[in-house]
Amino acid sequence: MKKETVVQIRDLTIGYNQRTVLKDLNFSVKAGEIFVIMGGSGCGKSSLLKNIIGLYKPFDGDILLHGQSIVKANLKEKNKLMRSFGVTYQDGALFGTLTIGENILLLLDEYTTLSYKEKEKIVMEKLSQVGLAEFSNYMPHEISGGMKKRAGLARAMALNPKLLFFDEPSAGLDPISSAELDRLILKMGKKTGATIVIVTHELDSIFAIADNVIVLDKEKKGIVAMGNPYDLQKHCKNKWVKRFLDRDGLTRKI
Amino acid sequence: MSNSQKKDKSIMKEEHRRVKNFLLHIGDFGCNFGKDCVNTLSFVGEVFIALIYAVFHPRKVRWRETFYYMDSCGSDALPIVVVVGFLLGLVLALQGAIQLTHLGAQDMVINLVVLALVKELGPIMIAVVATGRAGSAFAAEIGTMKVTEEVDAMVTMGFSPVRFLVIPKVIALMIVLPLLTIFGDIAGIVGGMFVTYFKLGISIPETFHKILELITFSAYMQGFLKSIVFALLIAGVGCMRGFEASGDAQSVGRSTTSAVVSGIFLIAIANTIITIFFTI
Repeated sequence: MKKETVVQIRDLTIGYNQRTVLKDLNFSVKAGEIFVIMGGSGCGKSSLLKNIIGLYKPFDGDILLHGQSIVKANLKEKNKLMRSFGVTYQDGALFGTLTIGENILLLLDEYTTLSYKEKEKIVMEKLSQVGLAEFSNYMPHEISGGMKKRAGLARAMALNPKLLFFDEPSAGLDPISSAELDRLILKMGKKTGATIVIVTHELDSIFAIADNVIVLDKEKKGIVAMGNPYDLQKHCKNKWVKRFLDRDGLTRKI
Repeated sequence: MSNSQKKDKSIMKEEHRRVKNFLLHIGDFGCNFGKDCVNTLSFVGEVFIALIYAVFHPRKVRWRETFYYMDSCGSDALPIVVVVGFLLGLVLALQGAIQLTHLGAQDMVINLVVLALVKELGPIMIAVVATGRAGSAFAAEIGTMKVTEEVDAMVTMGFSPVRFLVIPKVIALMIVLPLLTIFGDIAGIVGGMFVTYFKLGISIPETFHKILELITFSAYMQGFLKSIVFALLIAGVGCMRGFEASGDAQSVGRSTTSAVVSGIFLIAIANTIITIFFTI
């Protein structure tokens, strides 16, 4: 059965301050897959993500989410599109004046007409899914970095979106916490059938969870490889990509 | 080509380069100034629309945050406002007493203190204190939220950062600044009364009676209107500078400084305009 295209990037050129960072990008993300945008430091991965989620306007090209252009949308359409996906930021981006529970409740208050009890139930459900049920009344500065990321994920899932974006989810986490977060992402994806787009350069995470990847190159300002990470590692003819995926030949000493 | 001709040609080239650079600088300045004006107008428009929305949808206002800012910008600022107000009134009366005694008009000292404070110095002094406290705090808070991507998160959740972050601050300051101005004026008048009683020997009941005659509705309204306008400017500029911060700590520091400087500059301009309006 042919899978629906959830994210479509067409001839996209992005940058800032009149400087082009990436040009002529073309790729798509199918429904239900875990898609990774990877590349070296400073190649524009996070900038690309911020363009896709509508925070920046691209220089040229189009970005379609669920078949609708977020670039050409007016303010009302754009806000509606933004509510159809959830975003987890690098440090969680939780609102510091609200508790963890209130961060999730905010979305439910704004976009649903549920009773307070029903909203509270959803908040506890989302926090339980990420293992933070006991921390509902904690403030963001009272929890660890890993917990903030999980709370950010719970908030991103508040309205049960079918599309999720992650910006460097494993950054700053120890290997165990990173693996726990990867397991959580896999679990969320399987349970909800959501399409997940992750920006990262953590190889362990990429090989553990990615269905497909694109590899961005800073100097070429574009995509240099696309496909399953294992296939790329074995068969990719681009030497730089192979070096990247093999960690430049520096493997673990056993 | 002779040596002197070559020299002349290189001097001309240098002149052309300088003129071109100068024109480029002017062009750059013009473009950046134009962009700033557009951004400022856009921000002002957004705040105005959000304020009107808040008036018609009071339940949608984030009242918890509004009360928090009223407390931090209002009650926490009261001691410094009272002290500065008292000292300002005292100094104004002392200086006024020296000059007016020469003219035999020492009983006009309290007129000088009351009218200058209520109409001009009270609102300005409180506004400058508020700019330093509230304006810089707002810029730092929003600037830090930009660095930690909280503002980005708000946008991608479909929330208007102006409604969530700016309106509570604007409403809070518009409520507390006029109240602080009243306290500052009272403290200043008490400072003036110290001088009229202890230095000039004018009785307190006599001074008090005169004060009640001097504070007319028009005099009070001038100060009140100024404090409302100053509140809007301080909160608006502080928040706007906060949104202009980019991704590092230095830019947050710069935006905080800019919030104070711009705030004071705009207060001076607004004060002049309102005073002219009331005196024509």
